[in-house]
Amino acid sequence: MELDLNIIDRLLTSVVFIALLSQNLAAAEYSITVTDQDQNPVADAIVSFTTPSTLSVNPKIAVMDQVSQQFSPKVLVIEKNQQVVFPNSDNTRHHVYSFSPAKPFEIKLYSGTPNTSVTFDKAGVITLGCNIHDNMIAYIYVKQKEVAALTNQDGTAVFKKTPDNVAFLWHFDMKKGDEKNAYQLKKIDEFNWSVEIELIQRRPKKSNTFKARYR
Amino acid sequence: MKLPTLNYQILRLVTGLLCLTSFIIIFFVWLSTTKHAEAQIERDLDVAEEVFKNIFESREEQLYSSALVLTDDFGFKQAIASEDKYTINSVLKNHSERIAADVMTAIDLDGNIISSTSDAFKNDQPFPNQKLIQRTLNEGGVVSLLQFNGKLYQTILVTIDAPTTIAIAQLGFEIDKELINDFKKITKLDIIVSSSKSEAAPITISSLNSLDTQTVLSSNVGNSPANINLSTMIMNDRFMSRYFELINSEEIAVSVKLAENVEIFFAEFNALQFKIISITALALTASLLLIAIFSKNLTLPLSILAARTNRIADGKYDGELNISASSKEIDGLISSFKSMQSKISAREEKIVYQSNHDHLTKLYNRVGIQTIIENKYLSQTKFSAVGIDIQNYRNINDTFGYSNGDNYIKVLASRVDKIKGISARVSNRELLLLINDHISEAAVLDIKSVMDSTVFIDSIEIRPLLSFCLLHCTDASSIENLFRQISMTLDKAKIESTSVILYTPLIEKEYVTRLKILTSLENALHRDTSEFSMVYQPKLHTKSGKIFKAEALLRWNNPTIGFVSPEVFIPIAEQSGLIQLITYFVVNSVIEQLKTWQTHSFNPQIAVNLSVHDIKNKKLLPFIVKKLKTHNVSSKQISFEITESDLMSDPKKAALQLCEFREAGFDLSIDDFGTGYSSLSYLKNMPVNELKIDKSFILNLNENNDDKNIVQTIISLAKMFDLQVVAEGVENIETLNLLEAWGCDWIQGYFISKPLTCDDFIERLSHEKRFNS
Repeated sequence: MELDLNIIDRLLTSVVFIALLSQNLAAAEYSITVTDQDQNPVADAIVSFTTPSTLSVNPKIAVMDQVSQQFSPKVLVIEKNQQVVFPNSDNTRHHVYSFSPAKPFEIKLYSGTPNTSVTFDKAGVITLGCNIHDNMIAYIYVKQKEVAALTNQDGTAVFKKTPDNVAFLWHFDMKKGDEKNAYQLKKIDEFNWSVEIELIQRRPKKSNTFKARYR
Repeated sequence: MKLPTLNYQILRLVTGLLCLTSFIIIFFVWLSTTKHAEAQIERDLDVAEEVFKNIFESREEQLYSSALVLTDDFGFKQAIASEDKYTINSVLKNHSERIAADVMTAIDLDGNIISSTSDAFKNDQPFPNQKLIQRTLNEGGVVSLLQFNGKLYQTILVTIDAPTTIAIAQLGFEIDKELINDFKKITKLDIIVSSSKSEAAPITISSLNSLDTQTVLSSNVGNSPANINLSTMIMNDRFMSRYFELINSEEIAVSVKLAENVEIFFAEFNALQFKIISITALALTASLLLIAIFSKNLTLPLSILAARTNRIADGKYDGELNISASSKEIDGLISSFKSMQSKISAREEKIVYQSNHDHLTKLYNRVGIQTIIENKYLSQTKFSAVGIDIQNYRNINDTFGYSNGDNYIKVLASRVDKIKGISARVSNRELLLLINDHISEAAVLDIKSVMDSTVFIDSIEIRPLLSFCLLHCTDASSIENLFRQISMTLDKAKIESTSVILYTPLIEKEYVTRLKILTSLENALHRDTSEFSMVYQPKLHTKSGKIFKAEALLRWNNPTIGFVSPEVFIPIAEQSGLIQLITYFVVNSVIEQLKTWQTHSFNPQIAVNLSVHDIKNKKLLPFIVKKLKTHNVSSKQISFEITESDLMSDPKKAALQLCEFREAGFDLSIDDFGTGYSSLSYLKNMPVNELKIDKSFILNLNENNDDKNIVQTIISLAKMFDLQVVAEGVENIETLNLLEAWGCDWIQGYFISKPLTCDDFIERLSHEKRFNS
């Protein structure tokens, strides 16, 4: 069972948009806004609830594109056993790899769309890198059963059900281990909640400061 | 004060100048060397610091690039991710060998060591510096210094990204002796790297030996540039250093000291200083030599001149002055000195000559001849001395003037000079001739004949009037005696009007007697006139047979010598000038006696003898006139007798003076007439009114026909000139009769009466009165 997350995202976004416009409309959407310790909205954060969700029977093949020597999207949420393809939209070659225990793999130097997709059969976060381009980092979040949503640029994740008071949060800049903590959601109104997480840094890629000295 | 020698002064000056110059040069060389060294060291240290930092940076870059190679190694990343420790270990080993890194370590994100090429890092142990881990995680990488296992490392820590950080790689180069030595090779400077603050013992890595290292480290240079001062110069501090810190964090501080050995700079300076001092020493030696030469040229002539001056001071003028002059001044000095020497010598010769010679006649003077005689006495050479007295010297001067007198003496001197012997002029009018060996009186006569010939000066003819005396050296015991004896003998010759006289001891005896008489006479006249007494010898008037007149005669009875005849003491008195005193005494006595006689009504005319000196004495006549007036005695009661010889010595003058006496009313008589070569013409003008025939004609008149003729002639001559005639020395009746017959006016003599004392004379007169009355 495959789900086009993009479509869902877009759909969700539009739903949120509609919800914001007409809150009293019957289509109920519930937003959780994630902010950091500085009250800035946190994008690409994953808000999840232990409440099991219904997995797609035949999920769609997810796409981790590589555009302008960056992975796109930055964070990809997939279901367990969902396949992901890594098309190369750049005219340079890429060498996508993962050393993450959930799914170590590598797709050696290639261009265009490789023949094979990668199936992520374990839940967890997989860090993607390109062996040629160190700056290329992306994450694939493999859900077990939980309900999870990714925050948009405004730091908002949208759910169709009333969320629990407690949620789990993940972000690549969170302190290691914080993803195991349960976060108390703060209710703003009937449809809106907020939560604050601590990020270790919001600076650009850390190695730049050091490596720049030698370039 | 003792003055320093010229040599010493020159030496002092030259040495002082040389030393001063050298010191100034050394000082300025030192100054510029110091400045140069300062700048040079500064530059060296600047360069060295830059070089060191560059080396450090290049090593850092090397470390970085090595780290990149390591962390980019996919296999390595894979091995890290898969925690494949064997692979990790082999990759680290392989890479460290490839890039010659001294240490290479993989560290997990918790700061625990995964694997390391260094034995010091044990697996699963925390990395010693966790702060670096944190910084690496925060900044992606860090470069630092690390001290462990007793070693100091330049180290880099970088994250191993796959693509997120999965581990940290640490690479390090040891800062070891090799690095330091390489650095020294490039910069030629010494370097000391030392760590502190580490938990372990501090580490010092130095290119210097441990002693110098301590020296440099202990010097408190700080960051100041090289200070070169005097202490640097004397090598207390052989190193100039520069200090800077490589790192100073909480865990570790590593500092670097760059040190430059200043000895090399000052070695040059010292060499230069040595050269300058050597040159100075050489110059001093050379100047000493020059001074020696200079001394020879300058001070030696001066010393010789000084010595010569002392010789001259001692009166030694001999010796040539053979000094070669080196300079115009010295030459001038030497020639002036020579000229001075010869002039002084000439002048002294002249002075000596003048002191020994008579300037007029060029004969020896008294001093000169005295020396010669002394020498003769000393050498016991036999000699005869002929004394020549120029009796008419004064007369010639008076008559013809001094220049003619001088010429007269010159002629006589030249005559004496021609006689074999040594001649001298011992006094104005005395010449002396010394002749070797004893000569006879006859030889003196020969000399006299030479000397006596008439002297012609221009148109003047002078007949020398000389008296000679002869003495043999044996006559005198000393030179004083010789001169005294000559003087005595010539004196005798003069008194006796003898032309040649031989010295005999008798002369000296007479002279002594004469001297004794003179002394006593002088004494008597000045102190005790009682030794004198007056006697009166009556004169008989032939026509009346009465005694109206008498001649006053002086008697002298000295207590020691006894009775002295007037014939002895009167000439002495005349020669010594005492005669005037005698005359005063006689005049006084006679006038007082006449005054006394006046009271007894005796008024005889008393004749007083006057010498030629008396006539010349202008005070005498006024004295007599005044005295007569005071005593109220008539001038007719006094008459004066002057000897013919006295009158004839200067007849004109005598005539003039006698006129004054005549005008004063005195009778004048020519005494001793007939002995004085009177010329009739003088006699004619002589203002006298009496002639007194010399007793030599009267004494034997009755027996001698010549005398009879003379006396008779004189009497008749006197009658013709209307002069009275007195005959003295009448001792018998025959003579008396003759004289009476010839018309002689007055008779005086023992036949009439001997000279009578005052009392006897009065008695004689009163007897005659009685007899006549």
